[in-house]
Amino acid sequence: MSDGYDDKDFGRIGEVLAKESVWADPPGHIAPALMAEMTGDEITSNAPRSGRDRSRWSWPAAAAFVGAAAVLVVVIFGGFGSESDEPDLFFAVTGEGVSGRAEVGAAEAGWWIRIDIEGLDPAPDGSYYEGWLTDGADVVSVGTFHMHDGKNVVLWSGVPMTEYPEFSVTREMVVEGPGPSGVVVATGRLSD
Amino acid sequence: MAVKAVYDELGGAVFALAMSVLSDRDLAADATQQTFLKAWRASSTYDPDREFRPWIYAIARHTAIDIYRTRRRVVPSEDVDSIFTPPDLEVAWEVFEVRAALDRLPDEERAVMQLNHLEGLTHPEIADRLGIPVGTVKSRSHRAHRRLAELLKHLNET
Repeated sequence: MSDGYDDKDFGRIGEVLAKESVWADPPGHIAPALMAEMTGDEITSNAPRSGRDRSRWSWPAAAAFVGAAAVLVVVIFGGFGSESDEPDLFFAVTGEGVSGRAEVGAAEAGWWIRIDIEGLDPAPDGSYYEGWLTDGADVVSVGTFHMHDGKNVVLWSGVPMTEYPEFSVTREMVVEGPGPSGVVVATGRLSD
Repeated sequence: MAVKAVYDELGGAVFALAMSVLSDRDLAADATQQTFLKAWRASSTYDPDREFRPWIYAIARHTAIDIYRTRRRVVPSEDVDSIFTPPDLEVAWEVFEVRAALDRLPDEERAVMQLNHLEGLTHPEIADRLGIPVGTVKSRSHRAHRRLAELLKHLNET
């Protein structure tokens, strides 16, 4: 380097800067998934917090965590309707030999996606199905299931389908990583 | 500091640490998400008189190691070495700290550092790549190195 600093000045830092892992950027789906998880945790805790419970949020960011979660809930539920067993939205699910109808409704902690699906075989041992929503860029998991008994599936989403309108089901292997396998068995799309 | 701000400030550092341990983007993403959830849920154990970064670093390191061990159990042992390189735990703290410092640099200085240190480009090559004068590259590089040296002096002192 010719700008007043050389590798000797930088010592170990220079070696670390040459590592690819240092520069690796996290995928974009983590932040929304994280917020969705946190929102769910906060909302599903129905019991009022005691004074002791509140005091446990001694971490400086904790109060902000709660505040951010509350704000997100307002944003999420705004314009979508209140909690109900009645569906707000519908879409068709199709795949090779697979057909079904999905309903979407608001819940306290996010949204439920109820699917009545035909033609999807029970997942073999060591595998399972996983539902996903995407906006074309970020992908969010909405839950896993096996189809061992019955044809009704209920999934949960922390992100609104109005913003993540593409739905898909993949077949996953237990030993694989947490991301989508790419083996898509059914898809659906929320109509405008 | 809102949760998004916490993640924006240290998400890259946690992910970089996880990548250095796991060498797999999907697993590192999982480790990153688990780390912030664990931190959020374990906030009662955080002592506000202590620094925040080492606390979340410890959670991230344990989480990444747990995932690594889990993968070793489910992948046949003869295949492990072909899938994973052993985790480089010695350098994990340095990776975490260096990445956290890099994320505090302005984007244009960070870009110069990346091209210089990761891709090994010279100042003229960086200027050519970015379409800016060599003098600008040199000044950005100087400022970035000076900032990093200040932010990371504790690493060279240990």
